[in-house]
Formats: sequence, structure tokens, C-alpha cells
Amino acid sequence: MQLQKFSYDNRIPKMFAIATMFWGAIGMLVGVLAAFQLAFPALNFGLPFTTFGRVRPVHTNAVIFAFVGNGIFTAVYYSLPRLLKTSMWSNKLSKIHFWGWQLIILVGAITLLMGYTSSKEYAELEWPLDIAIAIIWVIFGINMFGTILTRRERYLYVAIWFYIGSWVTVAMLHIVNSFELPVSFFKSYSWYAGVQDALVQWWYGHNAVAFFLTTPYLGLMYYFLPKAANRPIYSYRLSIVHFWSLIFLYIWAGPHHLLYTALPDWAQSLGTAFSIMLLLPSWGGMLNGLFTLRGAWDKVREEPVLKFFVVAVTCYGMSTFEGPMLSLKNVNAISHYSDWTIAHVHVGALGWNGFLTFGMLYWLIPKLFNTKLYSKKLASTHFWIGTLGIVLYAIPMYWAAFRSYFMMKAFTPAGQLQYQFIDVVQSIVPFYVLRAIGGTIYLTGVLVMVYNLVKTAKQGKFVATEEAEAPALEKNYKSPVGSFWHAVIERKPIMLLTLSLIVVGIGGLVEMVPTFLIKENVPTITSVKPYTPLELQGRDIYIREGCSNCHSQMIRPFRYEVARYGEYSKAGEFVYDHPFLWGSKRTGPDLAREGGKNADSWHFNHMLEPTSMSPGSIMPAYPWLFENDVDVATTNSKIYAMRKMGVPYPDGYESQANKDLHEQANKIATNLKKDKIQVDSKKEIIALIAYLQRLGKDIKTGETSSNNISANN
Amino acid sequence: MQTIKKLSATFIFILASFFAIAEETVTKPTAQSSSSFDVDTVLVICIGILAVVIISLANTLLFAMKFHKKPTTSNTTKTLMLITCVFISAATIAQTTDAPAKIEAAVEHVSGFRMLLYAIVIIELAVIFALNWMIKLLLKPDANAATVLDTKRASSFNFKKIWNKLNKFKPIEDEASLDTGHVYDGIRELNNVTPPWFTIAFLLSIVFAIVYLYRYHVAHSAPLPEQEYAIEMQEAEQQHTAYLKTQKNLVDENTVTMLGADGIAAGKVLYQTNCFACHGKEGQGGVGPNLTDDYWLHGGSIHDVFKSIKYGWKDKGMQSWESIFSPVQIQQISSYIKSLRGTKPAGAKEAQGELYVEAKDTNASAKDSSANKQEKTK
Repeated sequence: MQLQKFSYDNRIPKMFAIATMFWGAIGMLVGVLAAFQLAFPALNFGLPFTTFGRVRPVHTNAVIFAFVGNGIFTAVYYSLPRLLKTSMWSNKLSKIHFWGWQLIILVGAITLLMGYTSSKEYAELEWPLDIAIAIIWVIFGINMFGTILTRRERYLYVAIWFYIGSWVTVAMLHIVNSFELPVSFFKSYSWYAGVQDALVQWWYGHNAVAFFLTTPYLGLMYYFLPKAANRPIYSYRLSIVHFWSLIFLYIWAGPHHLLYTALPDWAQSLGTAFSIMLLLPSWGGMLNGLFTLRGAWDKVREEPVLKFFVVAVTCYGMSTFEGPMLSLKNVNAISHYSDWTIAHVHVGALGWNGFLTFGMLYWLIPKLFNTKLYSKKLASTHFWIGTLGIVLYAIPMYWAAFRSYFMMKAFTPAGQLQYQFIDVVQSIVPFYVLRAIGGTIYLTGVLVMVYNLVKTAKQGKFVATEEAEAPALEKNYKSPVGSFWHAVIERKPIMLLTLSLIVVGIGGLVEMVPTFLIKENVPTITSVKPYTPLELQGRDIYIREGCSNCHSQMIRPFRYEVARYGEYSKAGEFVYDHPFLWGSKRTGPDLAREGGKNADSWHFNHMLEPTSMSPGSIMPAYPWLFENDVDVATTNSKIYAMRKMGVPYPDGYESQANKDLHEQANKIATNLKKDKIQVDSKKEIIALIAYLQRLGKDIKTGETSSNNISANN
Repeated sequence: MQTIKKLSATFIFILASFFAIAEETVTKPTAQSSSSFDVDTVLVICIGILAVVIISLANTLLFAMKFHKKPTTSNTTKTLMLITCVFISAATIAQTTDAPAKIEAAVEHVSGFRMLLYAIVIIELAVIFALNWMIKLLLKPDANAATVLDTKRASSFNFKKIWNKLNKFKPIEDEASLDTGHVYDGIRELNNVTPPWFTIAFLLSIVFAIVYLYRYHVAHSAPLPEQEYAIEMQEAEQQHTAYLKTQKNLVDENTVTMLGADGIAAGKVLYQTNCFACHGKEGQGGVGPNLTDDYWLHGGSIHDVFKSIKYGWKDKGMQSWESIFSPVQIQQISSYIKSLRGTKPAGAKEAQGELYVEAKDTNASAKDSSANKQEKTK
């Protein structure tokens, strides 16, 4: 058999590795800023683009798609050719992929800070960027499959199964969740509304964790961990079991983000049931990782790379245990909307993703530069700093979550809420400080790593390409008789791709199709009407400022929530909400029934200086809303887009919309004048007040003060 | 550091699960008709656990066969036995899933359904005994040698051994026998068995999921969110009524009276932490109306003020404080507000609403309602 010569390119992995470090540091820095903002509102600086509501999405997107994303690509572009004994299919596509991705990140960060957001978590980027992501993702896929199809290795290694499964699922998730109707170049409305939008979003959101933060990183682990430990993979059959069960079960678990909400009960229960079944398949990855180290534990004590890997895999095991627990209803009642969720994701992100990335970089950079790590001692220091950072991050958040839960649900014997929302906020601010310190420590560790790796690169010489040789694959290959059934799939990448897509498609279809098609899943409420043009504009301001990052609009059926916020939310109330704004975290109080709770002038003063109306509040001020005029030129296209999606505005309402808008705005301005507030009715604050005063007013049932309301009418 | 972290995390989870269990037990007693279904649930769980036991015993049996040299244990009997075991366990699981459909049809058949469950449990137990007996039989000829070995091992009991056994680890020296022959870029793959506890736990989690869905959506023996809410509210109501019985001087908008200096002082404290943002530090008004003049939007008697605080005026931005202040506290605040009359603070807001003339207390309630009427016509 003739040997063919080819080479492995190291330039692209190097570029991705640098991008990983760069965006990692930036993303974490933004996270540290956001963390401190929660404790010290002055750090919002009174500027639109430095305010928490806009900063937080930049942090989450940067860390997920820029840091971890580039980490994935580093691993794929380094390991894929080597596992397949071939060079990457197209160097040009690799370059387009690299620069395209970095450009998306940059433009994404800028547009998010400018307030262009779809408000859907981890999918905040607006439609032009969604399209750009889809294109780059397809380019990555073509390059990956080109490489796989021109391979010189008959069978695909487990890491590649994970790469393929992740690629196809992310493509599916991204496309389905990004269905939106553009109204202008950087503004669109989600195609789905209310409950359905929530379901699609959390189907996506949960699986962004699954297929962006988990499965590609399992692939990464399957390559770099045995390499670094120089040990064989523990169990091939465990790989098979946990790969297929993991991707099949993961996709169902999304609704556990919506327990006790207006989502139909059956969908909630499916979310819980499948999350519980997800535990062991997740642990399969952990076991295969840890047991691979059998016989190499003596090395773990000395080798920083392995130390990072061990803690990463352990953190993976911990958070994949915690996840199913959090999806049990009783536990979720505590954790949802609280800092527990934040702690949970950070154990995963800082521990699993962070430490696995660091381990990979400490192993990879010396290889790329044909040298030894500059300082093992510094790397060990980083390891300890990082671990301390995680602990200091997570524990205060757990503590804060339990504390706020017990305070929130405390009633006096006479039946009054023992604490007001602001009391709870103030009591957990110290924990926010501790958490921010934990994050800072973790970031310091990253900077130590960057220094160490720069020094490493400097002392070595970059190996741009590595020569290799292998025979080409024979054509017309037939499996030997009696070979294992799964081996067939392993040598047929397209079959593997198709099977993965089918396996991940099932869960989504079973949950979504009935929710969309069966009417009784979202019972209609006749009194629920579309937003007025001014309210719609106000809603878009609410979205732009990222209010849903801190304020939920979904009251759960608990006594303490109903007492605090009003009647619990019903599915039918959200039928015109494109997109839904239920939120996932209550740093501030729920706003689902904010309408009429406070006076117009209260809102006016509160947005200008929150502490004037709510002493001790940590909400930032929004002075620019008092200077900017509402962009009435967009009203027309917004109403049109909404009607296109089935919101029942009368035909031709566009022409009348702005007249109604001004009328309502003048009314509010006159109302404010009564409280000695002079304001131009064109200002954005007026629209926002209109929206806030509308919230939750369409239904009036079962309120404690119902007698009062009837007297008033 | 890591161990501390792990320990504390585990602690929290254990705490959380205890909490969850505790809450479950709290809600259970009031759940409607739960008792009749709970027996079924327990039975279903038992069936699941027994099925797992059967599977593991069957495995042990097969394992024992390997070491038994009797020619009778041919491959066919092995497979036969395995198939029986698998069939039985599959059948039990299948029955647990499709039986609920039958039970739904007619309530009378509930007892029949339970009989079926009992029957399955008995069959499963019988299978377990049979498997046990077979395993014993197979191991008998080598009994002497085995016991000697066992006692030797037992004396050097340690954690590592249990750990190895739990995971079915093979000694590292025997690794070559497990090698799949796969080599990818120098990475070899072994083919160790999946740890038995892993398989069992995975099966249990599936059983859990089935039981979970069954309880909530087929048997309806566990409360869905809205039912839970109804139960919670009912309990709160009961507690509240019980509480009210222990209380004497309760006030509401009809019985409220002006308090003395102490009450006013207490009201002032509450006012200055909760009301000042809208009504001003001295009651001069701001977002909300002036509370020091003689003009009132919703009536100016202590009864009216009490009522406004208690229920709020939702469309005007006055929130209801009923869920935050106790009736006595509302009385204190009302008294403080009434004490502000005529203080003329600086920056007072202009008059809003109707002129309220202080009435003799006996006419107050009549006056209130007329004030309300005027409001309505506005």
C-alpha cells in the first residue's frame, strides 16, 4: 500500500487559541463589571452602553460564543485532521471561518451595547447577525465534512461523533429559534409569541448549554485528556451508550426552565422526567474521562494540564448532577429566578468549560511552539487561583439564593409578607460583592495563564505545519464478518449525521408541535388585547434596555408570589407578546402586573433616579430616556409586522397608529403635569410608562382587592 | 479546596433534597384521593426495583456459568435464560406503562389493577428466588475453595476493593485483553464494561421518569401547579382563621379608630420608611397627593384612609398594602396621616379631590359612602 504525504496545519489552531484567550479575558472582564454593578449601581455610569441590561448579554454571549466557541474551534481544527490522518479540507474556508467568527463577535458586542437585541437569552443578536452566524456555521460544517470525507482513517473516533452531533444540532437550534420578522435593519420580532416563544427559546437555551458548552467539549476531552495522560480511553461501549443517550435525552429537557410558568403542565413534566434520565448519560462522559486516568493518577499530582482536566471533569459531574435536581419541581421552586441558577451555570462554565480550555491550552501551546511550558509552577498557581475563584463565586450565590427564598416566602402569622422585595435585595448585596471578588480572582488566574503562554511561545519556535504520511483508504470496503454493529455507523459519517439529527429532532417535535397546534394548550382570554402603538414602542424600549435581564414577567402560582405581585400569570395573557419577556432572573421584582401599581409620576421619578422612589434600590438610572424622542417613523412597520404575524390590528391601522400614539402620549404628559412634572410627550420615557402601566391589566380576576376595583368602576 | 467545595455542594444538595421531601410530605395529606393511588405508585416502584434486581441476578448467573464446567450449561441454555429474564423484566415494565390506560376507563377496576400489580410483584419475587437457587446450585461444587478465598478477601476489607468491585474494574495489568485495537492519532480504546451501578442507576432514572409522568398525568395522584396553589391557599386560609381566633382587638375599615400618641409615633416610623417616596417626608405630596390639607380624592375619614391604604387605588398608582402591613399597622399609619392635618409643610402640593369636612364620628360611615359615590360619578 502506498503511503501518501500530507501535512497538518497549525496556523489555524494557533489563531483560534489566541482568540480563545483574548475573548475569554474580555468576556470575563465584562462579567466582573456586571457583577460589581449589581452591588454598586454607580458603576453603570449613567450611560446607555455601560448599563447592566446591555452589559450582561455581552458577557454571556462573549463567554459562550467567543471564549468557548473559539475553544471548540481550536480543538476541532487541531484534532480533526490528526484523528482522520488528513489535512483540513480547505484552508481558505478555515480562514473565512476564523475571521468571520471574530467579526460576528465584534459586531455582536457592539450592537448589543447599542441596544440592538432580540431579548431572547443567548440568542440576543439581531437578524443580520443570525444570518451571518448561519453562514459561518455552514462553512465550518462544509470544511469539517470535506475533511471527514477525504480521510485516511476508516472509522471515526468518539470525539468526532460529538463534533458531528454538536454541529448538526446547533444548526437546527439556531435556525428554529431565530425565526423572526425584520422590521428594520437591526430590529426584528420573534415569529413565535408568548408561551410558544418561551418554549422554543428554552428548547434553544437549554440546548445551547448542551450542544455548545457540553457535547463539543466532551469531544475536546476525548482527544486531549487521553493525549495528555497518555492512557487509553476507558470504555468504548460506554462512549457509545452515553453519546446516543445524551444527545437523545438532552433535547427534551428545555421545559425545566419553565416550571410553574404558564407553559402547559404536560410539557413541564416532560422537561422534568427527561432531565432526571439525563443524569447518568452525562455522568457517562465524566466516568470515561476519570477512569481513563486510571493508572495515571501519579501524573495528575505533577502535571498541571491533568489537574485542570480532573477538576473540569469533576465540575462537569457536579453540575450535571445539580441540573437534574434543579429540574425537580420542589427544588426548582427555590432556584428559579434566583442566584442558584447563576451559581449552577458558573460551576459548569468556570469549572468544566474554563478548566478544560485551560488544560487544553497548557498542553497545546508548547506543542505548537515545539517547546516546554514556560513555568509549571505558574500553571499550578493558576490552577489554585482558579479553583479558589470558583468556590468564592459559587458559595455566596448558593447562600444568597436560599436566603432570598426564605425571605421571599416568609409570612407573618397575621398573613402579611414579612419582607418587601427591597429588604431581600439589600440583604443579598453583600453576597454580590463576594461573588464579584470570586470572579475577579478567577480572571486573575486567566491573566496569569496568558502571561505564561506568551512566555512559552516566545521561548519556542512556531511549527506552522507538521508533515505526516498514511495510506489512502481502499475503496469498496466491507466490514469483516462478525464486527460490532456500531462500527458501521462509525465509518459512515453521513449516516452518523442523519441519525444524530433524527435522534435530536424527536424531542423537539414532540414538545413543540402540540404546543403550536393544539389550541387548548394556550386558552384564549377574550379581554386580552394587542398593545397600543405607544405601548408597543415602550415595549421595544424595554427590550432595548435589557430590562428582562433583571425583571421577570411571569408570576408563578405560589401564595407568596401572588401576595407580592398579584394574580399568577395565565398562558392566554401572552398571545401578542412577540417576543415573550418572561425573564429568567429576578434581580428586581416581577413586573407582570405592574400596570397601575404605581403612579405615572412614580415611574417617571424612578427611571430618572430609582433610589428616590425606592430607597436602597440597585437599579441603574436611565437618564437618556428623558432626552431621546420615540422614533415614530418605525410605528408603521412595527404595526405591519405584528399584523403579519397574526396580531389583530385592524386593516390599515398603520395610517392611524401614530395619531393614537400621540394622543396616548399627551394624556400621560398631562397626567404627569398634575404631579408638577413637565415633560415633552415625545420622549421615550412616556412610551415606557405607557407600556409599564399596561402590564397585566388585561385580566382582572381573583385579586385580593377585587372589591375595591368593582367599587372604582 | 476542591474537597471542601465538593463537600459543601453535596451538603447543599442533600439539604435541598431533604427540603424537597419535606415539602412533598407537607402537601401530600391534603391532596385529593391520594391514598388510594399512592399504594399503586409504591407498587410500581417496587416492580421497577425488583426488575433491576432480576437483571443483576441474571447477570451474576451468567457470570457464574462461565466458571462452571458442567457440560449442561451450553450456550443455548444461557441464551434461553437470558431471554426469559429480559422478557420478564420487559413485560413488567410494559405492564406498568400500559396498565394505567385501563385504569382510567373505569374506577371500579382500580382494585383489579392493583391485583395485577401484586401479581407482578409475586412473579418477580418468584423469579428472584429461582435465580438465587440456580446461582447457588452452580456454585456448589467449588464451594469449599470459594469460601476459603472469600474469607481471605473479607479479612483485608478496604474501600478500594469495594470501589473496584462497584465499577467492575479489571486489574490494569490485564488491560491488553480489553484493547479494542482502535488507535486514533495514538489514542487507544479499551472496552471495559460500563460500571454496573451506572447501568442500574440509569434504569432507575428511567423508572423514576415513568412513575413521575404516570403520577402527574395518568393517576393524577400528585398535584399539578394550580392544584398545589389551591392547596397552599387553603392551608394559608386555615392558618389565618386559626390566627384570627387567637386575636382580640382586630381592626378593619369599619371598626378602625384614631389611635393615641404611641400609635401615631409607630405610624410615623412606618410612614417614613414606606410612604414618603410618593407622599413626601411631611405628607406634603409629590407623586401622590398632599395628605395635610382638607381635600381628599377618596374620602378623608380615618375609615376612608384605612381603606385606601388597605386596598389601594390601583388605577391611580396607589398600591394595596394589605399583603404587607397588618391591620394594626394600617391603623397606625392612618392615625399618623390624620394627625398631619393642617401642618402646612413646605412645598405642599395643591389640593386634589373633594373638600372633606371632619364629621362627628357617628356619621362617618354614611359620609364615606357618599364620598365614594361622588368619586364614581367623576
